Amino acid sequence: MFNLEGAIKDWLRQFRKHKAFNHGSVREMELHLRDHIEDLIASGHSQQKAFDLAVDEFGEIPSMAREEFQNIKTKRTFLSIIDITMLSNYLRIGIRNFTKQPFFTTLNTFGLAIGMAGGLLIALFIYDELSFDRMFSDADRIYRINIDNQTSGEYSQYASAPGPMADVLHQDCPQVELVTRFREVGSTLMRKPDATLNVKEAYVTGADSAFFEMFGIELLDGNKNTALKQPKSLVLTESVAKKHFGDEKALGKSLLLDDTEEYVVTGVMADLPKNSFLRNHGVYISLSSYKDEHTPAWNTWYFPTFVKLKPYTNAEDLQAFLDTVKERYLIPWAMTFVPGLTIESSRAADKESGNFMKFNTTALTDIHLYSSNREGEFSANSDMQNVYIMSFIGFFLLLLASVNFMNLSTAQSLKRAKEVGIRKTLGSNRLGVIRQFLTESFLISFLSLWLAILIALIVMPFFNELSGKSIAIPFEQPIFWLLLILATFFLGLFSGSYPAFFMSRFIPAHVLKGSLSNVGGGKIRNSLVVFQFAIAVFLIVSTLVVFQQVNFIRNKDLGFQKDQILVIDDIYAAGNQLESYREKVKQLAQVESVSLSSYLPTPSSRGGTTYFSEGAIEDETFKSEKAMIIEEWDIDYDYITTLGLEVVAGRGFDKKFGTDSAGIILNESAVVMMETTPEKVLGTRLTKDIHREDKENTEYFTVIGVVRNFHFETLRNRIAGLTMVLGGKPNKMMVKLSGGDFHSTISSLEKTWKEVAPGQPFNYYFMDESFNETYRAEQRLGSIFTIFTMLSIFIACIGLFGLAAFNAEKRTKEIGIKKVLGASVRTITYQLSIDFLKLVMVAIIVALPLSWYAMNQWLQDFSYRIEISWLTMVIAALLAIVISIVTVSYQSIKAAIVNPVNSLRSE
Amino acid sequence: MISKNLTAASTKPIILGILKQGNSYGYLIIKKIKEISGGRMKYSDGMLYPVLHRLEKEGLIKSNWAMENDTKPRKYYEITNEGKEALVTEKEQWQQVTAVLNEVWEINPSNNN
Repeated sequence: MFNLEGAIKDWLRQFRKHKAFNHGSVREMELHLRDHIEDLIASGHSQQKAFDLAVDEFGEIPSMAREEFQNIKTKRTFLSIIDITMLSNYLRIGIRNFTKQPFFTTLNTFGLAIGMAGGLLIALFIYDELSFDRMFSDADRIYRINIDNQTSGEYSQYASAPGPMADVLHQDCPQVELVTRFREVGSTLMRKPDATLNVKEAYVTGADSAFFEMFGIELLDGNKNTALKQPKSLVLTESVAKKHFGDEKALGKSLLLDDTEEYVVTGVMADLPKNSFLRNHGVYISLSSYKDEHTPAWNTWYFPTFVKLKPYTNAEDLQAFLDTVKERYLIPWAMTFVPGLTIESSRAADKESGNFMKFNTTALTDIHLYSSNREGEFSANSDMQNVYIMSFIGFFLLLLASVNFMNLSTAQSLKRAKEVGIRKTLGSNRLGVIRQFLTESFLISFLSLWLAILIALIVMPFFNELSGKSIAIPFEQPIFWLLLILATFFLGLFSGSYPAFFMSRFIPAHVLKGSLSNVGGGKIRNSLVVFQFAIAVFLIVSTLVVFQQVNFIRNKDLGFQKDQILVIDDIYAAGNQLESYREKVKQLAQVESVSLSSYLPTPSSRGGTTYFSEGAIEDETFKSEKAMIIEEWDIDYDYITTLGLEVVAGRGFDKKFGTDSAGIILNESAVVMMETTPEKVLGTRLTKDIHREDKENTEYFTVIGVVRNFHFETLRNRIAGLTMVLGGKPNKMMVKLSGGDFHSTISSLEKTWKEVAPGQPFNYYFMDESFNETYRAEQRLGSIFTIFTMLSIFIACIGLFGLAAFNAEKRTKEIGIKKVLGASVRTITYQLSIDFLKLVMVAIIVALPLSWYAMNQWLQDFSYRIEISWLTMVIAALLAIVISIVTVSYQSIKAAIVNPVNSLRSE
Repeated sequence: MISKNLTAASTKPIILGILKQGNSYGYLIIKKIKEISGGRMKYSDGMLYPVLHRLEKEGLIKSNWAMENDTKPRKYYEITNEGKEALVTEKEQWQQVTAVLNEVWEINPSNNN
């Protein structure tokens, strides 16, 4: 008996094979068939005949499915790709898989988390670097005026402008909306008039009354429109005010500066942000307090000048104006005291000598990253290069972690090949398998994210210490979370994509047959290992080179003795007791010599002085192209011996010669500037006394000695020309000590100081410390490099460790058979390890030339630098090899000592 | 018997034409085509459905399930305005084809030596 319903059911089953048809379509077909059968029965056919006819007329289902599939294919939407309905299943399988493979899951999560934590720290670091000075209102319209100057082959860049510049810009430059002027002021001793103890304020500056408007700064107390108008008034930041006045109101109170002049506090402002160029400065003295406020002199290069441009004007117009300033204002001013000087003669002289003086600008927001070497910067700046280096490290750290993930996942995939095979046999398509593995990689990524945040939180204080910043993780900002989650999402997608696509390619028939070795992917895994180790080797080389360079700088013969020299700051506070203090210090047992000067051979902002040699005067006029703008240090008779400078010609200052107050000592660079030799230059007369009318009374200095060049700027710079004369108002005392324990000497120094200068702070430090401070940036770079190198090596090792474990497992049976046949543990360990070593060798070969090139580029920044030796390369290579051997051998040995009975039992 | 290719090519205008006369469902549509063509157009019934679904995806027709006289549910198709426009275009094209064919086949003795 023919069963119509059964036949229809059987027929419908054919549709299910084709995923082209959804439930609705199948139902539609069913109704069609039933209608047709009913009609046929009505016209007299038997049930079976009617069914056969209807099915026959309906046609072949596969060809119909192909047609229908065309309709469905392009219908995919985002949601259909994610396949929400299956998500819970993917999650469940994923979690089950993790708990089944705790070793790999932990390795994966940790590797990724470490990379992410590193990436997060670096991202915050870079964000901080890029955020400098952007908090000021209209920051995009504010520019600083700079000077680039070259005189007698000496090139220098200043972050400040001549005094009259501000007025000129204000009056004659149409683009300028506002100008404000600072004035460089050294560190200053401050106290309340009734207090006995002075406090040293290291960051003091003069500022005019436009300062607040320029930077949009509000006062917490006081009137910002009048605060910096009157002479002898000053504005403090909150923390400085607190330091001097405690919880008292500071406004209207007096402060005694350098024990001489009384100033009134006319305003208190909030501390300026840590990421602003004014971050250190806490004392702003009204510019009108200084005699040179309205100086007409264009050689006063100690007025940092900022302009705010009108909206919709551009910096090029400002630059165009600045290009005219020299001939419009500076030279006419110089003509008033240099007879015969004309614009034409100055042009000709510049052309002949190659001298120039140019004004240019730095945008406020560029100061931190693009202005590192100028003299007179408010605070130490960073360099865009550091941002690039950090981005590079961060990027590679994440890439390493991601690659690690891919490697471990694909390796592990061999174990899951059967799962994929079964999934596919049961009807999952490739997309389904991809979804499964991507779900898992997202799971791991987000798991790692939490771990990474935890790691970052723990590490942040150390990182801040290292980088000299005070970064906090901005948990309260939604955008931070958004970016973090987005980044994690992409990291998960990126890391998971290769394993997912790789595994979804498995052909069920192959993998279910059990031939695991067919699965492949080994080549890509190997290249990933090579890639990881190449980065690790690159970073090892970089770290070694940075440290060698830092060491080289530290130990370089600088041309003077920096060890065992104690520097006492602010000795002018001793007033007329200074000489007696010096005598008392000299008598201390450990003291070898004592010198008083304001000048230390360590980098600091020092101005230039214009000198002419006697030969540069023709017809009673100075030829400006022969001017030497070089540093002039005021020193005393003991300076050269205390610092151990070497005199190469002539002699040092000596009390025996009564005429030495008119003597001058040059360094070798200054001699080169004068185009002569140390021997010939002795006796030459120099003058800086160029403004006087009565030329016959011009004061001259006679060169009495030449000292060997010594490094008084950082080793990034060449040694510049230098002159030394007797005199000046010294503010530092250098005490050269003989070896031994300095503690008792220091306490006697302090005790004596308290006697001669009661109430004055005793500030001292050792010169080599100050020197180390100079190379803090390089040291920081070195430390940061070390840490991230270690991280990247660690991540690479996690990857290698995992792979070795996998490899050993895959070859369990092979090892078992080998052992049965008599192979020793050593041979097997060797065989298992050598494969990985080969990869590491390839990585080394790839990485060494690259790192050599990159580090050579970095070294170009230093005038005095090391050569990268082949030894560095060898050390880096050996380090990579040793680390990889240690990593791999654990797994290899573990596999090799297994009793073959255990590994072969299942066969 | 009309060839397979030609049948396939004409399916779209035929379906649209039938639906323009009134809403209908799959089985009725195919029945109508068979009636009109007098069996000269041979279809596999099943091939109609992918075409219907494609036209729906293109927005030329739309569908909804409806119960009729409480008997069986049916998926009714309805021509949309876009479908009507498409039908006009199809009509023009087929007429042009016919016109060309007529021209070609109209034997002109003077040209046919």
